[in-house]
Parts: sequence; structure tokens; C-alpha cells
Amino acid sequence: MKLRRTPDPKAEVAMTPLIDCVFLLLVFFMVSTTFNKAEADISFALPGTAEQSDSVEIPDEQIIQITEAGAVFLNDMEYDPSGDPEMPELVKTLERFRQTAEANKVPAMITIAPEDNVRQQRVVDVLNACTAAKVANVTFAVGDSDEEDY
Amino acid sequence: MKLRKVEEPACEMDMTPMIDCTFQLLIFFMVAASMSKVDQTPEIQLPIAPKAAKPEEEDLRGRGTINIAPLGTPTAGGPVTEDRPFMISGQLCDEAGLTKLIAARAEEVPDFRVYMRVDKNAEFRTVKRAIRACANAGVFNIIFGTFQSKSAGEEG
Repeated sequence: MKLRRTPDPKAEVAMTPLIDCVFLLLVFFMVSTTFNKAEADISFALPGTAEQSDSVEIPDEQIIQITEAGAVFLNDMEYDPSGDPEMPELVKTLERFRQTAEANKVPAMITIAPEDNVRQQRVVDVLNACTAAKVANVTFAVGDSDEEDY
Repeated sequence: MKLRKVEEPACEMDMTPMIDCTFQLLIFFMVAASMSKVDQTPEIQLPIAPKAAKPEEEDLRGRGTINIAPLGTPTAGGPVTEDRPFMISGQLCDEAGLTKLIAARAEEVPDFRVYMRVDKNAEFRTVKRAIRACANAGVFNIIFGTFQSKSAGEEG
């Protein structure tokens, strides 16, 4: 007797769990993704301790004061009273200062001395002006009144 | 005469393009979700400095991050206070604790630098204390975190 072959049921991969997993992962990554905005650096260095044997070059130093109201003073003269964050007047003066120091073959150095209540944005405006004028040696006066500046 | 019904082919949805799309999206979000390298705190709005330089990949090594928010800002570990204004990995600490932490990290990591993420409205008084802690811990290289443009800084 001839037997009729019963056709095998089609072998299929179950896609449903895979799609479930993929969706789950997709939702997780969509929720957890926060597009990090690129941050930028503006750096300065605190004056370190020098070895006794090192020869120390005396830098040409200028002090920029920032008052509580955000006014910026260099040599008792106020710069950019308009509050322009780009500080074009200060940048020009600092550029001239750097060129003079370079001509005298001494490092140009800026010390920023903000008052206690000055907002960080104003401090960064001044640092930004120093960077624009290509003054690399920038430091802060943070010592207490009876201490040395750091 | 009896006619045999012709069976209609099963009506099935073609899933392939949908799965393709889903995989594309999945890969996109997996790539975009770069695990943050620095200790970023969403409460802090960085100041804007157009002349600031974006650091190179290798320049990001050897940095320790200090977050400084204005006093009173609520954080996961309680509000920022005058006594404990510095935030490191979500934990608030005082000046002495900060000095210790920096000194410990500076011993482990050669060429250690401190990356300060200071809110644009934070007062210099607090920043001054952080700078003093760095100096006391023997770290003299400090970087302020900024955004280069307003559009980058406005959101979040």
C-alpha cells in the first residue's frame, strides 16, 4: 500500500520575541539618550612653588579687578562699562600689553581679582577676553586679605 | 456542477521593512547615547565663552570634575549650602573634604587637572574656596567648563 506523505509543517523562526526585545531596547535608549552638548575649556594656572635653583623670570603683571556690579577695572580705569560680554576695549588693551611684554622678552601675566559676589559669567567674560588677546598666563587672586595670593 | 473553492493566499503583513527601520533607530540611539565621560550635573548652566577651546579626546584624561551650583539649588543630595557647596559625583562636600579628595586623586593620577563646572550665576566666593582647596591639595592646573555659544548653552 502506498502511503501519502503528510507535508511537514513549515519550519519558521518566531519573530515576535525578537521584535519585543528590540522595541524594549529601542525605547530604553530613546529615553536614556540625552544629547550632551559639547563643553569647552577655558583654563588658567595657579602660581606653583618654584625650586630655589630655578631662575625665575619676573613677569610683567597686571591686575584686573571685577566689582560686585560686574564693572571691570584695569589700572583704575573702567573697561567696557556697557557690559558687553565680548569686552572689545579690554581685549585691545590686553593685546597691546602682551605685545609690549613680548617686546621686552618677559612673560605677560594677568591676575584677576573679582569681588566675592561677582557672578561666574562675568569672571568667564574676563577670562574670555584674556584668551582673545592671547594672554596665556592668567591666574586668580584668591588669598584672604591677610594671606598671600595663590 | 460543483465548483471547488480556490483557497485565497493567507493575507500577511510584510514585517521586514518595519524591523529594518527599528534596527536602524536602535543603532542610532545606541550610538547617540554616549555614556558621559565627565560628571555632568543637569542643574548647572555653564557660562558662555566664545573663545574657549573644545578639548581633544586625549585632553579629557586625568581630569577631576567639581560641580558648583548657586547656593540653595536643590540637588539629589539636598540643597547646596554655604557649608557644603561643592558637588562631586552627586555628593555635596565642604572645603576640607574637597582638599582631601583632590589630594588623593592627584596622587593616583599623573598630570591631574581640576575641571570646574561652575554655574554662570554662582558667586566667586564659592569658586575662590574651590581654587584654594586645589592650591592646598597641590593642584595648580584648573579648567573652567563653558559653552562656546548661546544656542549650546540655552537648552538644559
